Amino acid sequence: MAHHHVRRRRVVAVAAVVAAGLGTAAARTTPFTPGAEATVVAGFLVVLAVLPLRWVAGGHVVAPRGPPEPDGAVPGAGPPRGWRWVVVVAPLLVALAWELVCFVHGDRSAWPTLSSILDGIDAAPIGRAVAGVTWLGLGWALVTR
Amino acid sequence: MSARDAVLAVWVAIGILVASGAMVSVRSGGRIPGYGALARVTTAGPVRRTVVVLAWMWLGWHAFAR
Repeated sequence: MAHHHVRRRRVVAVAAVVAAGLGTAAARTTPFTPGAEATVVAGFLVVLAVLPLRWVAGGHVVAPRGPPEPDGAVPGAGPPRGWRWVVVVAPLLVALAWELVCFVHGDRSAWPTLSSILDGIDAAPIGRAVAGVTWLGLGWALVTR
Repeated sequence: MSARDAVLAVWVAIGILVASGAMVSVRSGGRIPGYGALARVTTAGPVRRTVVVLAWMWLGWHAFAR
């Protein structure tokens, strides 16, 4: 168990350094330039390189903190099985529908999509760095959990 | 209020709706699944996970390189 903790700390420390480096690189790039494309491809490579490590480690790159989490809600309690998902799925469907409505209207200044809102955040280097690290963290979570 | 302000107000309302979903799930004590459970179901199995990873790659390209 102690070995797992040490290994976990090392993996997280390396991941934090890599994320900080790529976040800094993202902050210094401009869209539609080779530098921006190279930074995103570096993010792909870092995250996808974790997959072979996962296979070697037998399923987990980072040792789980505790017992496995349940896949969903407590069985046999609350609303019927399908309806339980409405609480989290419905807001996402509403967001998707509104994104499509904004996208179809075309005029981004009057009908901003999530992307165009993100562009405002991305305009500042610090916003770009935070968005880049968040994106990397998402990818990391996808391949390590 | 301009059209842009109205559209942004709807986005804020949707953000509140999404956060409310998370809060309802947390307060249900496990009776209602949350976004974590949804993510686990969405990424369960190699095919679904691959699709989600491809979506993640597209998101990065779209947001930073385009």
